[in-house]
Order: sequence, then structure tokens, then C-alpha cells
Amino acid sequence: MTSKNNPKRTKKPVLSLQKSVGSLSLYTLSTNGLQVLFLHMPKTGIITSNIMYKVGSRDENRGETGIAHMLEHMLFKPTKHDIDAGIDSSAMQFERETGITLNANTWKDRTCYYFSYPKHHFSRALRIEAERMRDMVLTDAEFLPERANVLSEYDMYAGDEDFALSVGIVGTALHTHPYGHETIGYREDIESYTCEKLTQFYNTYYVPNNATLIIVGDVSESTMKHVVIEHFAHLTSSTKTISRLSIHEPKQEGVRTVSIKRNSTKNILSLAFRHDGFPHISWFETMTALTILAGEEDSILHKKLVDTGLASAVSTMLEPTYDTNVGMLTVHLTKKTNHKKIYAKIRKILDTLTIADIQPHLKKVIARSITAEYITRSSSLGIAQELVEYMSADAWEHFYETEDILRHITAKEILTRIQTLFAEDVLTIGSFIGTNIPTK
Amino acid sequence: METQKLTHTHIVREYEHLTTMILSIRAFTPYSAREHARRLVYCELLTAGTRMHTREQFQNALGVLGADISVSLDAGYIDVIMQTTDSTVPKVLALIEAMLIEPTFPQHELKRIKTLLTNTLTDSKEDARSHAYRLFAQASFTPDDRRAVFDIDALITEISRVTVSDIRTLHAILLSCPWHYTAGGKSATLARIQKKLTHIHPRKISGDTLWYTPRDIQSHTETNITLRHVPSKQNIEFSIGGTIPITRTHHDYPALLFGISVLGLYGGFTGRLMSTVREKEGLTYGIYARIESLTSQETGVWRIMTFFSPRDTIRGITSTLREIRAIHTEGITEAELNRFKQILVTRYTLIEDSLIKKVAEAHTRYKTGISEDAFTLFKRSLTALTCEQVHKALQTYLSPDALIICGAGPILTVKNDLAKLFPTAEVSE
Repeated sequence: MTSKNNPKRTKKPVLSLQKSVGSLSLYTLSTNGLQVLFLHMPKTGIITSNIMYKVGSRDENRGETGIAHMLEHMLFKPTKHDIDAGIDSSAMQFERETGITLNANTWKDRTCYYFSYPKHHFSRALRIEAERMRDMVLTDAEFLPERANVLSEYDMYAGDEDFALSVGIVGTALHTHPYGHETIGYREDIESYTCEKLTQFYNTYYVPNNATLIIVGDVSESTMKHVVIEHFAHLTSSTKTISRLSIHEPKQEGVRTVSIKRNSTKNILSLAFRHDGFPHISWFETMTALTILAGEEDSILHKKLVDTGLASAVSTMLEPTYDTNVGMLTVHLTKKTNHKKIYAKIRKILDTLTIADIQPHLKKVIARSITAEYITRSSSLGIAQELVEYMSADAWEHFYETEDILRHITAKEILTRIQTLFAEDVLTIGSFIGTNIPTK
Repeated sequence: METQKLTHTHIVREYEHLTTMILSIRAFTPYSAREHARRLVYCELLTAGTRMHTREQFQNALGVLGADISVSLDAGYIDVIMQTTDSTVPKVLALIEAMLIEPTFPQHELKRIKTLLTNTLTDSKEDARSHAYRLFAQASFTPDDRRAVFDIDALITEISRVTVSDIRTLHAILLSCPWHYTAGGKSATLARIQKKLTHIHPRKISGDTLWYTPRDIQSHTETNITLRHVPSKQNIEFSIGGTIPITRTHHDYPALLFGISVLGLYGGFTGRLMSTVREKEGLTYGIYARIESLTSQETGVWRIMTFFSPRDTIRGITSTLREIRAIHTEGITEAELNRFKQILVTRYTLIEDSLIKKVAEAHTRYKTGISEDAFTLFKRSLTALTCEQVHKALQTYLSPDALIICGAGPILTVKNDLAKLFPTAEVSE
């Protein structure tokens, strides 16, 4: 499948430009459909390459939750090429020999792998990505210790009260959509993975026509094209259709509740709501609404709950997912209140909000969101990671539109958004109940 | 001892839209839980109102500029951190000036902040990682050391006692302390920052700023184990390490830093601990080692940070101790020496990718008391090290028989097994 000497291949491979928007350009590799998204940042001496596969936890079957993430870990193990050469994993060796930055992450809709390095390593970085796209080797000797590491990672998250509550909430809020489980999966499922299951998953999704290679940094377009063709052109695309289920979560008709009890000193209340996918304008409205409500020290709920001593913290969660997903507003209670009272208080605040309440916050939140984006986009690593989310949402052309979208959001739209998101009949209310609360 | 009232480091990037600055007020005093509490309150109260602004007005003025100013505490330093876009810098500087020159420290804001801090600290009682570090720091630093870490309940009690008068006294001291800022952005913007801060800072430094003498680290002649039970967690967090009785200017420091990096370079997967305890044995998700709190004038510690599930705790600890002993006894290999020379060079190069990282790195260098020239020499010295020098430093300063081992998490679930491994361990609940 990966032979570079395929006699049937007669046409010279071409990386052809599909479209440019601002400084971003999207190319397609003629031999296999690999997409390449390129942004030139001259004079920094640094390049980040980030390859995104369109596969995430949404593509997992029941009983196999977390398998996309488990597979992500296995791509740092020796490939067929590494074994033949008698060396350790090329990816790990790249880091261990040179000190470059490497990592990966799995999310609902996608999995991505990145290297950030001085520019003279460009060819090596792309060679490694090409090799592990098709030549992963799964053995129990490599898999079993790594599964133990993933279980350790699971336990790290599961020990966190907010995470434990979040697992309960998304499972309650979404009945059919696969966003209803966390990316790490369930412990019981992780314990049951096999190399065979992982290999099947890998062969389905790790193909060039299901990947986008994002390259940001100090490399010219001509060098970029040459090196991409050198390392990726020989890979063959999948002949099977890579299907992704299109699932629409049924309408919710009434409030849902879930509770988690644990030997902890914390009490937490979360209100979960459904929001539109990224990067719809309504997604940005939701982000702005949540920041106004609970995103900063001068936000509405921070003033009314934290400053008054009813809560120790308020926070929000909103993910940039392709489909409609669940977001959350979370409050950590102090001893002065309980779940019922704090919900009543929040309900009253939300139900009586007016445009006049929102207006003073709107300009600040938008200005800070724009600055935050400048900060994210001030390094090749940050830009590449943000492009992953846009590419994952099939919306890379909208990368430069955020500022414009934000500047046009009105207080009226925010009020309507809050009323829609937090209407009681569409909420899922989660309570983390600590059973070790000191009485005094 | 500092003699200049205001010093700075500028990182010029003409193409940047961002401007970032860290201003550190060096206020080293004999430390205590009371002093720490006073400073925690101060950091919050400084942005809570000026002669011209209520807290809300101040936050609004800052917010509409899209700017962020935060004030935080770092081992005797008060840090003011600014992040904003280039065009807004003049207005943000005016707000910083108002904050530093004309703070009002209102009584009602003090009350609010006490509540907020108390609730935040109460929440942190479930944070096993912080508990493990706190136990480690308490075994390392004396309570009057500027780097000391205090019990949560002691801090809550001291916070309740802080008065506006305490805060005003501290503010007067801070204005007369040495300041240093590191800023990154366009050259014209940096010149503007320099002009403004020169204008704000008083002309003379008070003798009051010279009262602090560096504290020695508490020495240990045998391994010291302290554990804390936090039942809600799934993993047991560990801080494992020891004290280092030299400063950063000591000739053995580069070799020791190099050796600790081989053991567990922070971030990534390059260290021995990540290769063995994580990858080969599958006992933890992350395990790193680093030198901490060491400056040109103060001795410090080395520390491994990791966590194990209760069922893997004994094996995890055993493996970690095995790696400590191995590197102490056998040193590092020639291959590791050559690899890590390259790794450390690349790590320094990659900082160039981000202005924020570059500013943070330069500012950390200031805090450790190392000039840019000395840092260049230091980096050069790393590339000239030999295996023998690294091994000698590890044998001298990393003692596998005088460790500080601190853990926090569901300890009681493995109490009996831990007692076999550490018969003298103290467990608190």
C-alpha cells in the first residue's frame, strides 16, 4: 500500500491550489486527495505542522468509547518502517534527539498530531507523519502498557468533580448523538479494547483522503510543495467510503436531571444546554453570552454569586464542534447555599435579564475576545491548532471572519440567545453532591 | 542586593499586534502566613478601585480596550501582567498608573475579597496535586522564607485579620522597592512603556527594601515521607525530590541541571522517567523532574511531579526510586549527553515562536538573578559538559537516601502497602 515504486503510477503528482483566503491557501494532492492548508510566516525560523484526521469520539461505537483517543496514543509507537530499521518510534526519536515539540489531541470530531520545530527539520517532520499515516504496527507489547497509561489519564480526569459531573450531564442531555460521551471514553470500555479493534479503526480512518496537513511557519510555498509531494504522494487513498453518521438529536421536551454523589467537600451545580455547531454566528453569540454571564470577574453571575459569597466560582464550557452539542454553565457552591436555592437564584437572574443588563458588558466581552484571538494567533503552534478546529468544521475559509462576526453581535441577540439556551424545558441540570461537607 | 530603582528587558518585534508586559515588584521580607495572606488580599484589592475609578469603572475602562491586567503573587514578588493590542497601550498604561499611584483600597472591597479568597481556598482543599506540593514545600522551606507555602486553614484565618491599614502599609513598601519589567512588542510601544514606568516609579529606593537575607533550604539527612488522604480523588499525586545546597552561580549548577533534565525534562517525552515509568511500564500518564526556586543567591530544590493510581502506587514509587538511584549511581551515558545538548538548544530556539513565551522566559531569567550575558555563557557551558561532570554533580547533590516524598490522594486505600514501603510515613487526613 505504501510502495514508492508503484509501476502503475504514471502521472506526476501535483499539489494543486484549490482556494486562497487571506494568507491561507488550501491545496489538494492529486494522487490521493490529501488536503494541505498552508500559511507562510517568514523570518521566525520555526514551523508547526499539524495533521488532522477527520475522526473523533463521535465515530466510536457503543462499547468502544475512547478508542479514537487510544489510537492517538498508539501513533507514537514504532511503525513498520521503524521496526524494519531497528529503531524506536521515529516520532518519539524525533523529539528525543532534537528537543522539538510534539503532541496530539483527540476531540469529538477530529484527531490531530503536531510537531513544532526549527525549520531545517521540515522534511523529517513530514516523513514521520506520512509513515505513521499508513504504517502503524499494533502489538500487545506496545499496546498493553499504553492502555495502562490511558487508564491513568482517565483516572486523572475522573478524580475531578467537574469532570465526573460533566460525564453524567452529557450522557443525560444527549440520548442518541455520539457527543453524549467524553472523548476519553468509559473506563470499562478502555479495559476491553484489543489490538484488532484498534487496527480496524485505524485502517478505516487513517488515510490521506480523510486528512488535512496544516503547515504554518517559515517555509516557502515551493519548498512546502516539494516536501509534501516527496513524502505523501505515494500513499494511496481509501477505496471505501469513509462514512460518518449524520445524527440529529431528538427534540427535548422537559427538563432533565442527573446527580453524582462522592466523598468530597464540594457541591457543584451545572446547567447544560444545547448550542449550534462551530463556526455558525449563533455559536459566537453563545460564546459571547456565556462570557457575559460567567466568563470574567465582572460578569453578571460572578457579581451576583461569587462576590456575594454564594459561590466560590462560576465558569462556562463551550466546544467548537461540527454538530449541535452540549455547553454548560457551572457554579461551585459555598456552605451558604444549596443546589435548590442556587438554581432558583440563577433562574431568577436569567429570567429577568434585560438588554440594559447586557449592554454594558457586550463591548468589553467582544473587545477581549478579539484580543484573545490575537494572542492565540501570535504563534505558529496556536494558529495551527485553531485551524484544526476550522478545518474540522469544514469551515477554514471563515478563519478571518471572527472579528467581523463579533463586532456585529447586538445586546438584543445576546438576550434572545440566553433566553433560548436556558429555557427550562431544554435544560439538563446536573448536581454534584459532596458527602463530606464540613458542618462548620 | 539591587541598586537600580527600575530596570527592564525589551523584546522588540516590529510586526506584532500584541504588547505584553510583566512588571515585578521585588518586595522580599521575612515571610509568614500572615504576610502571605496580606499579599494575597493586596493583589486582589489593587485592581478594586482608584481615586478616579470604582472597581466597576476600572474594569469597564480596561474591558472596552480588550486589555487584561492581572496582579499576582510569586514568592515575594508582586507581578503585574499586562496583555493588550498595540494600539491600546497608552490608555492601558494610564490605568496602570492610576492603579499603582492612586489605589483606594475600599473597605467594602476588602470584605468582598476576603470572602472570595476564603471560598477559593476552601475549594482548593480537594486539590491533591497542590497538597502534595504544599507538603513538599513545607519540608523544604522555612516558614520565614519568601518561597514558603502555608496550610490552607492558617491562610484563611490570616486573611480574616487583614485590615485596610495593613494593605496601605504594604503598598507604601512596594512603591519603594526595586521594580523590573520585561515587555515585548513594537519598539515605539516599548519606549512608551519605559517612559511611563520611569515616571511612575519613585526616584529613591527605601532602605526598607534591603532587610531580607536569603534563607537556606531545610536540609535532610534521611528520607522524609508525608502523606495526606484526599478521598475524592482517583489518583495519588506525588512530589518527590530533595534539596540543593548550591545557588545558580555555582560552577556545578549547569551539570546538575543537565542531569535532572536527563532524568525527567519537563514537558514532552524525552526524560528517562517518561521512557521507563510511563512508556515501558505503563504506571503513570506523566512524570517530570525539574530544579525549582534556585536563584543566583538562594539554594533550592529538585522535584519529580507525578501521580499513580492506588493499585499502581507501590510499583510506581519503586520504579521512580529505582531511576533516581540509577542516575545517581551510574550517571548518564554519552548518547544521553549528546542528545540532551541538542534538546536543550532546540528548547531555547522554540521559545522564539511566541512573544508571550519569550517575554516570560526573559522575565524568569531576571527573577533567578541571571543577566543576559551570564545566560548566554550558561547555555554555552551546557554544550561543553562531560558525562563525568554531570555524574559528579548528580552524586554530590541528588541523594537517593535523603529524599522528600510527599503524596496526596486516596492514601488510606493503600495505607498498609505504603506502610511496608515507608514504615515512618506520616499520614494526615
